Amino acid sequence: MGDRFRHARHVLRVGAVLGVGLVAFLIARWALIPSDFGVYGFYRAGALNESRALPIAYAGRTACLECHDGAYDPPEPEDETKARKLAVKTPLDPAKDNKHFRLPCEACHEPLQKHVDDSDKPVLKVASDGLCLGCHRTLVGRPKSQPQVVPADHKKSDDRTKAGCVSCHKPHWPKTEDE
Amino acid sequence: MDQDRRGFLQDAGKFILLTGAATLAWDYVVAGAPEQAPNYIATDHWWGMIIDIDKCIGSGNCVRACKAENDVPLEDGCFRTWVERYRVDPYDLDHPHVDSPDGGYDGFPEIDKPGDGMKVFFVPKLCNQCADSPCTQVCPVGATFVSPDGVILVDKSRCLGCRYCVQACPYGCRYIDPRTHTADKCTLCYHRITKGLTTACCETCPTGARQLVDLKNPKDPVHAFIRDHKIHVLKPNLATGSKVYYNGLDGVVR
Repeated sequence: MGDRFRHARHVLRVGAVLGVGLVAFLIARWALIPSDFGVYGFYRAGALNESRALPIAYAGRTACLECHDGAYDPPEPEDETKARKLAVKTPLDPAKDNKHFRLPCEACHEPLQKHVDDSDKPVLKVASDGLCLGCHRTLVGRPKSQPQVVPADHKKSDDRTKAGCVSCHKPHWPKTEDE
Repeated sequence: MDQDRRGFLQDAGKFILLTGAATLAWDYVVAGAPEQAPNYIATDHWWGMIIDIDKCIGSGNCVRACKAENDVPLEDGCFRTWVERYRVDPYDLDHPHVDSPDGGYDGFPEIDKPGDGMKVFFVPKLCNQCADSPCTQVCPVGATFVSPDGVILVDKSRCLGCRYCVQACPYGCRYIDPRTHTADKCTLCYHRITKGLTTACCETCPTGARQLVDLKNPKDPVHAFIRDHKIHVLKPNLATGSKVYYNGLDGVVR
């Protein structure tokens, strides 16, 4: 009897080492792998919600138009003669006659989610020629449908050109009153 | 509380039949606008993008918006989207000249004169949100993955910064964030599209050259667009299942 089990101690020793190793492995696995890992696939399920929870900077045109719904309406004429001229062409439809109608607000004004959350936060007034020319400078490769100008050649009268693009073209209704 | 018996029974019936989350969404589903429901079901969507080359004017609005929306470092090489300008000599189609100064962040300088005989066009690029993405397959720790709605995301808390995925992406769409030393890439503005908004690049594109699309939404104009136009994806030979569809893409674009 004693002879039959005289090597049992070796087996038990190996078993103990393996057992300790297994326990250590299980503890390490439990500690290192997040509990939500592998719910949907080989990744942490919580990462989806973390990606969703990031802050938004651009509110979107729809949010702007909820309050500023008249932003793309025809401009008020500056003097009476122009008012008469404009009236002949009326009714003007922003969707058809306003070339900037589909232009997203935040393409020119900065990202505005903060302004949507708190309307006291100011909206940047942007009227630099550089901004206009970012889209309208003549550049080979731009599609022909895009209105493009060479600033030096695009002059009506010097005084107004010096005053910048917006002295003739209102950004919210870029067609000039003469056109 | 003004609730009559009929209203109470209806609400209770809905709650028992549909359980909590679906009850919230039910009114929106009935109204024909399930995408506006407060709870977002990832498996109902399969996101992608359409890029219309013929509309791109190279303004760089998308690049600037992307950096502002997603807190992308302004450093060189850190782009989630960028715009390339291709200048092709029609008699040397194999060697296009490509430039992308700062990814197009400040637009493009004038190089060609009109009538130079060069073919010039702009190609906006971003993560192609591949259905069979090479980059997620190589991640050893499960830090990058395809979400159930088809967007490739990075779990920054798990990323080791081993750069394996940066090398695996055939489109060069990944970079290492110099602040965290983890991989980063376009998330297709996951925080926006899951709330019913479009991506920052699509939102600010002045000509509508970029459009976010939901391929699982039968009402999405993408289905008609793909039918009616000659559509191409980048590097189709790699079978990545790219979901960024280009209209008017020239064959010289790599």
